[in-house]
Amino acid sequence: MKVLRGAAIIAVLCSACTATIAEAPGRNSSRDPAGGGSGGSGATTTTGTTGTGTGTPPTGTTTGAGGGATGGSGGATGGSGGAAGTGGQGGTGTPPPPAGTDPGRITLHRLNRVEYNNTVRDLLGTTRTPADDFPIDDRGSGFDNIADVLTLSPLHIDNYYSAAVALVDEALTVAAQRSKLVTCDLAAQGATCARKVLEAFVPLAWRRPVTSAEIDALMAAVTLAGTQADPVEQGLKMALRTVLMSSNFIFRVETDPSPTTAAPHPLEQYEIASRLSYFLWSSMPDADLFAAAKAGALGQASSLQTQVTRMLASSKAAALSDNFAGQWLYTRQIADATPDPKLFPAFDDSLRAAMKLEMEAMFREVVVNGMAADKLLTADFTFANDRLAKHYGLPAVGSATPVKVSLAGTARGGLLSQGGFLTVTSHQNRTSPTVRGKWVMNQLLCLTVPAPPPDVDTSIDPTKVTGTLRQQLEAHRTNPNCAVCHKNMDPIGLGLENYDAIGSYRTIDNGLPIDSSGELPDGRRFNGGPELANLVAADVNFGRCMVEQLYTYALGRAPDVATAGHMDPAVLYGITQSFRANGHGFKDLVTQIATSPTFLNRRGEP
Amino acid sequence: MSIHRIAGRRAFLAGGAAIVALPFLESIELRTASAQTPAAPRRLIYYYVPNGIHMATFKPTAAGTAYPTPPMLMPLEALKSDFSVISGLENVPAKPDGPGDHASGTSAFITCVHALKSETTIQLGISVDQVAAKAIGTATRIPSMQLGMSGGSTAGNCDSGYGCAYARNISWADVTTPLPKLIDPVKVFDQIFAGVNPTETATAAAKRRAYDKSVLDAITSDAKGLALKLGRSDNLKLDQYLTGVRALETKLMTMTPVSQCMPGTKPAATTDFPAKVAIMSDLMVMAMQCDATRIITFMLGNAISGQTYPALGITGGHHDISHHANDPTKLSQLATIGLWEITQLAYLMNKMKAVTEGSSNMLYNSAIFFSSDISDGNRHNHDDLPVILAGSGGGALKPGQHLIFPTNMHQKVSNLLLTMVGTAGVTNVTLGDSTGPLAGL
Repeated sequence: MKVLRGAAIIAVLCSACTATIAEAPGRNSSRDPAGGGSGGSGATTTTGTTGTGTGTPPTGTTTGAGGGATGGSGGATGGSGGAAGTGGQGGTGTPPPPAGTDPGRITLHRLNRVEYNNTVRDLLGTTRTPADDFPIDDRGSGFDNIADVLTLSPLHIDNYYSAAVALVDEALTVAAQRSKLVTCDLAAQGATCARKVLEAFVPLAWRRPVTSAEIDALMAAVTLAGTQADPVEQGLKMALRTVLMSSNFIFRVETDPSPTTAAPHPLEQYEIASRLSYFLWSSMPDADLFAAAKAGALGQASSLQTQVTRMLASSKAAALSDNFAGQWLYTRQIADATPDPKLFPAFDDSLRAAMKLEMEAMFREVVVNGMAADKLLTADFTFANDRLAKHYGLPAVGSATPVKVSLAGTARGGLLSQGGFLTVTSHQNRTSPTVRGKWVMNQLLCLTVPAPPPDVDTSIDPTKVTGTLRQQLEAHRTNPNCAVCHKNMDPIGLGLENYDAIGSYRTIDNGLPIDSSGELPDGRRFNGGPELANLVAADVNFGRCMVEQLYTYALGRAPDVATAGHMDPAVLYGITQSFRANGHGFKDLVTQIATSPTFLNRRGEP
Repeated sequence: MSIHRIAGRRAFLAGGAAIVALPFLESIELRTASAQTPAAPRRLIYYYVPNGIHMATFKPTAAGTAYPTPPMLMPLEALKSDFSVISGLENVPAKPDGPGDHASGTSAFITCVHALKSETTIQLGISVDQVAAKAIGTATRIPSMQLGMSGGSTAGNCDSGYGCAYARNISWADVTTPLPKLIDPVKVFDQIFAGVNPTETATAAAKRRAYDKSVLDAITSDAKGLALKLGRSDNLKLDQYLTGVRALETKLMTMTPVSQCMPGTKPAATTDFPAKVAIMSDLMVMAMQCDATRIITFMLGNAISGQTYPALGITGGHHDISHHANDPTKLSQLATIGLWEITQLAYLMNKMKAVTEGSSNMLYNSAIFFSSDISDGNRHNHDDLPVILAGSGGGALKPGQHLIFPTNMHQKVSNLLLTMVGTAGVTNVTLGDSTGPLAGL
């Protein structure tokens, strides 16, 4: 409620589009397809390392719950509060918003499906992905890690229980897992050993030091086994189930010393460790992070920068590609795309897979290899395997896995010419310049477009059309009620008409030559995808938009540009300036976010 | 491909995997011996289809009991005395703020509450199935089940500024808690039967409960301790957690060693949409037959479903087609999709009718509400909704008629939903904008 993405809103109302040819932006198959043949329950998990243990726990047992050093943090620096800015401008010529004093707060964050899977992978060394069977996480503000909309139902608890039973059974029976977990002779030492196991395991599972009272409570199950005349193993099993069922595991807990006041306070060190690890890895902290938290280092910018560098280089950072880019750039939707098989027989699962790999590999260039983020749009190379090369009309690359290939001199280059993007922004039976145009505005420039009013036809029947799609859409825009919206979206997407609904290159549409000239909402004109890409990449809104998207994802909450005195507007402004000044470097952007006062502080809730 | 061929090639559960159910009378005897529950349990089913309905072939042209069966309802012809068509009802809270009719219509489907338009603050209200579950859900191991065909898309916006929760869930436990659906038949089967071990001895059961209780007590205590350190919004999440823990406790503690139903064979996984719909229908009947639950919601698709129907000879997605603009081709496609949807309802009703319960049958003892988030896909209107009320509610309903409420009466869907839960003994309740149960149904 409190948030609008971005400052620039094209506030136009499309009041009564009644023409028979109109398009509902975004209302293509990619919206919320009903599963269909592709089985909508496929989970998206990272493909990063498996079975990497976490080594050193956040040591042992302390007497204060949630302990850990509270090193200095970015601090809720002064500023005079005042009226909220209009949010995240960073555009040239706009004055910086007031600094604000309110760091905001992140509501108790349930692990989402990806986070659950990755966490049990890193915690137990399992290859199981139990959360694949959990309900799909609801999205808000474009991402499925938004704490406010991560609700919890009895079905979740039921699923957690089944998962805990299976995970603990496996952990106690598979030798490789058991040897890490049970480091003493359970049969011989009994309760002493069980306690030792819990003292080592629970701080990892709950991602913070635990109190001896908390261990005592868990040991009740071991005592119960004794009274039932069962082996201590049975008691440990129940204690471990308890650990995985506990709210301390299921939620990412951040506590407020004074929950009912709005006074800002720095996060605990272990809370910062979790914020970092779930931001960059969609998983729990590793031994290094726990050690840094224990040392109280995570309040210092230099230490945070070191961690960011280290973490982005880890294979676990593939989570950013799957989960951030997967949702920002819609890469995840390739799995659900259902182009009409009669019209697009070339689209098969191997092409689908190749498209996804291409987008992931390009994003990896940004995350790992330091490619400027705007090069996502303008790169003159891509990553293709033989299947994709054939689809693009490139020479065979001689590999089933993607290899880097030059696109110099071809009609392609960058995201807007990639098959995956072009497919997920098309209808099942044809391209949609409107959807593509709206996507560019929403996802790359953070310009919002109102949805169409009811009583409009959003589809164009390919058997009825005369002329190119451009001509039909232009006819549609002669209705001024429709034009007011579509004049912004359609001319962007029309510039991509050389790529059909699965991204094949074409020069003819409906028997007529394609005119791929187009125009951005601010009037800049272009011809074809590459020119469009250059304009978008150079657009001041691109950097602002990517900052907003990553900031939303990093915090798991939408930026608050409406609440007076909130830090978000100024923080976003500063990060955006830095992002541009540093040539759109991803590592710099992550570091800026990770060291920002809103990332390191929170407040209670009056 | 014809509808009948599709119906004919369903390989549904009963074909391959026997549902081993003890004779119904035996379970009746177990029940009547124990409490004052009615001899035959009353069931409530809420059946959602997305994108509206092609009203021209759905809505009967005459009122009363002798109305000519409209084309879309032909699959129900043989069941004509087992259902009513109710015309002229409206769901005013379903109207969105600006665009977003599908999300707001879906969230209001059986809550009859106006959704807060937001992607970050989810605020709705309790749905009628949960009103019933709170009142009578404790009679079964699973108070209510939420089933569907699709979890939802994995990226992108769901509907015009409405959070995805509104577009995917018709069942809501309270203002802030949507109840997500089971969409995998195997998981539905597990939900019904997991942990049920008919050969478990009383001693073993007692021990198992003691251990489960130790887990539940510990995590409850954990959460209550944590609550003290958290703010108001955090505690809402923790409340959802504790509610779930209590539901799990009920399930684990009431898992009796003597079950009324022996688990059959798990359904095979399938990605074929029509086959999966049939299996879900089979599972609904199985769950009710075993009295694992009496309250079920089912979503044949999510809001704005882009489901394709290649087997019906239709290209394009359902939602795109639903914006028909009176194009004859699209209208015909919508009629075909609607006919297919009604065929699925008929399949479920026939299966329920085939389950004998004492001197009647499961369909007689049930009430099924079938409708959509909107009426016409092009107009997005929330009045003159397509509504079928099937079953006799154990004799409380008078199926077999087409009942018309003039639209200028502004009769509410919520009132019909009150009448419906009344058949299961849930009375003196309210729902959304309801004013009181609807008579004459």
